[in-house]
Amino acid sequence: VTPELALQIIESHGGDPLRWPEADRAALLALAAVDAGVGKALAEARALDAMLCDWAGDVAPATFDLAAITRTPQERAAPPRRWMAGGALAAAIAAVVVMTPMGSKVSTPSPVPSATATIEGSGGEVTRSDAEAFAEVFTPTADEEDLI
Amino acid sequence: MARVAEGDAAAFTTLARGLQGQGLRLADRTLNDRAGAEDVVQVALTRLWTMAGRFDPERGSVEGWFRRIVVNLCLDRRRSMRLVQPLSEADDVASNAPDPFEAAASNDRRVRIDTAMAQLAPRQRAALVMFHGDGLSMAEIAKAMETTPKAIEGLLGRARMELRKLIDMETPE
Repeated sequence: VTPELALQIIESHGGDPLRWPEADRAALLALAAVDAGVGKALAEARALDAMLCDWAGDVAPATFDLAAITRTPQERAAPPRRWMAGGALAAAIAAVVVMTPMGSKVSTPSPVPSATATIEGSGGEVTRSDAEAFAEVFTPTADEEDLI
Repeated sequence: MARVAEGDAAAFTTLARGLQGQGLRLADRTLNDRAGAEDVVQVALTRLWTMAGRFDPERGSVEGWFRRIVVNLCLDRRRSMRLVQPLSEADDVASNAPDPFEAAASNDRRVRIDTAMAQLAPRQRAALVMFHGDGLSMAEIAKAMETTPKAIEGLLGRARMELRKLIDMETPE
């Protein structure tokens, strides 16, 4: 236990060795006996502990209306997780919205095949087969036929 | 707790009587407001009754669960309130101590700590009362405050450091 660690433990746990981490207790006590700074911090911490124990002591009791509480209806079962159903619906709608333009882009034949179409086809991430993507790229369009 | 969840009012009354004292102390010290603390405990006990079916013994004790409800209610309440610097009420409390000098010293000490406490954050006060009043471990406080034991160590360390400065500053020469 270094003096820095000792001061840190005393600062957070107070001056009672029983509240310190067990692994550091003996070493910290030994250090406090020889290190003036740690010893002083320990004495200050004990004074503060006494004040805190007074402060945190018992409070005057109060009367609570327990009978009124027991007249309150209890939750009978776990509340239905409506947010999950709503979330699933929202996710489904979002998926449809996202997929719709993607699907129309795929199904609409482009007059000039793009590199994107080739990548999508080869990646297998869309519903078209590789053969369809290949055909789209290498089959000439009507305009291209005229040129040929 | 199983009986409470089944609607057993007598079981609830017994349980509530055992918990209300520690709940009131925790709320009172955290809020620094007696009337507010009583409101918090009444609401916490109501939740204990109405939500008893949600209690899961595998996740901890009833005491721990109740403590978490109280802490959350206190912190929510403080967030929704405008912060007011409370005046210490210690001056108005009549002392029954036999020695007037001792009583005066004790009263002075009480005033100093109350004034210093009023300047700490409610989270700091909650951690301090659980550590010094209830003797809870860092892990138990962390559970009640929904954080880590390491964070509680830091919270307590900073709270104690601030308190020392505040009390020293206010020490009459």
